[in-house]
Amino acid sequence: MESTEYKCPNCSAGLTFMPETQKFGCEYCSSEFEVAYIQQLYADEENATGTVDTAEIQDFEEHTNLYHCASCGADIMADDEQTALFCYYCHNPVILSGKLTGEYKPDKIIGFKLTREQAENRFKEWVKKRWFVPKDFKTDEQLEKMTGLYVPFWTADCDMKADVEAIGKKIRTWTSGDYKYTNTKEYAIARKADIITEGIPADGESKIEDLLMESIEPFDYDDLKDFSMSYFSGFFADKFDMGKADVFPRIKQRATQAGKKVIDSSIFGYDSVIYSHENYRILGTKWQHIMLPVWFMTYRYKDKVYEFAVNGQTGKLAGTPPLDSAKLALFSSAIGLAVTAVSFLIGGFLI
Amino acid sequence: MKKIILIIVNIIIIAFIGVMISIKAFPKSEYPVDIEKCVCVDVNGILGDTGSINDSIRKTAEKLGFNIMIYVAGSADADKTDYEIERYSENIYDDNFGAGTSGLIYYIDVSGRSPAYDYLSASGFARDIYRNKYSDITEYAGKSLPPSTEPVKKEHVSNAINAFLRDIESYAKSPVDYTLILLCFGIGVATFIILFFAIKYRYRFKHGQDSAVYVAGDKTHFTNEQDIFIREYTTKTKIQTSSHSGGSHGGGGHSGGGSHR
Repeated sequence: MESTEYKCPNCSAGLTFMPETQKFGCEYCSSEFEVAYIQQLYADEENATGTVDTAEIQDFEEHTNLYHCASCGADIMADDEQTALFCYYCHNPVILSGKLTGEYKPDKIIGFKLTREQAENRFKEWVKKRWFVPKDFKTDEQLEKMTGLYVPFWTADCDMKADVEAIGKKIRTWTSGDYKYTNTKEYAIARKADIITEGIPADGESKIEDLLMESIEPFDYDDLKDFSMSYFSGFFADKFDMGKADVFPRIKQRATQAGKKVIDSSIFGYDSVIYSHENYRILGTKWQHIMLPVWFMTYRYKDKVYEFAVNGQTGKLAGTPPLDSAKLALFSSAIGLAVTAVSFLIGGFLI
Repeated sequence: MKKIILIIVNIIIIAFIGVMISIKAFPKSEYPVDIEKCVCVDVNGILGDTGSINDSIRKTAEKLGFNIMIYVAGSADADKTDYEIERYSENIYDDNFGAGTSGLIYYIDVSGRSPAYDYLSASGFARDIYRNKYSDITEYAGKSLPPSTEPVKKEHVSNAINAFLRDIESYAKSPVDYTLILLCFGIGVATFIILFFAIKYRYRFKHGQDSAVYVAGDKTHFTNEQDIFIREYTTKTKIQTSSHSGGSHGGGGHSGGGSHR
């Protein structure tokens, strides 16, 4: 007898039937689904007429080389027209480790719009304002380490239900004689909403700081195109090492944050709001594997790796500037000494 | 660990320079010391011959570079209030040496009033040296004097004068104002610490992306949106009242202080 293994629509982990609630539950992401909903979902998928373009997958497998960095473990993709020599992350030599299977083929891609020169100028502007970075962080040699990299992202469209209850207070105060009066009006607030989020991204590369990638968002998805190997020409691409299930907690957190904003923005006119019940439930998630363009650079300073990224589409940049503590201490001391001296001079006259 | 050492080293440097700056070089007075007028005025003649006492006063005045006068009060001064003693001392000084000159006048109250009030007043740059030290000096010298109810002997007064001269000389030898050092040192260190950590904070990673941009507004809709009034109440509290009083007064060319016996 053939059995069907149902997968969680949110994170793709296996679903189990929970007798106590008579629902399907995901142990990985704690989602719960009505039996009828899951059965309908699978019935729809079976009836879907879409077919996988095997030619495209074959093209991807044949023309994509995978390079491995023995030092940091990064896996870099490049088309067979170019050879990756150095790791974008740790700058050590990489070795050709073989071809990629079709599962790594992205669905969509946004091509680079920002040239290398523009990205370097953005970096130069950014670093110019930071006096206390180490000297060699500003050198041309460091700039050469900037790599045009397609970063693998999972994007999720979430169908969410929000159910919120709260007590809102409107407070009015006035004074009469020796007394201060406070009038408080209390309201029971209830909000239920169907909230749809579209394209919340989460990078599928564990080495790159998640918050760094979030900080260069948003990308303009209007520029998303069907994936083609031709986009890789002149750039490198990273192979994802985190699947949908791995990134789903981040997606869930961000979708909930977004949902909370929608609800919060609908509650106004109160002096204080105390929430008594908040439930944001993701009913279903549609995934896409996409490649997004990022000018990426790392800098090792005192055994710590500092990451810097420029959105290859919009030019938005983010990063952690390394701090030369000695330089800063020297500067602070000089100012501290000047203030001390001025204090003594002023104090000598006034006291 | 390195950062902590660096911060400590910087604090030590600031402290060292602070101490160096605070050790004041004595300014030269615009007026020369009027040695002949540096004397002890003994109203009741308790000391008898004041020749040796005057020599000591002049010697100290020459060494310190400002005028010194000592007034040993007599029975005619017994009716003076503390305030009158202060004004009287300052007037005697100004009459003797001239207003605005640098120097000290020490009023030793052996008039027989009880409690006795010994007073020290400084003017010119002597004020910078003995600032906030007046009571300490009069108390120290006053230890040689008997309680105001007991008879005063010559030795009491001469010992008090000698103690006074020694004391003002020792304060003049260590002109480091520790309060000023601590205050300025504190300001300098606070500046250093605030600046260091404020700039360091600016070098932290700043994350800024609002997930709300991913909400599909046209596909999002509310199925329930209710604000139901449930109750209303009014409270009243008595307003606390408080009263303030205060004031200040300033002086002219003299500053001083004293102590009671």
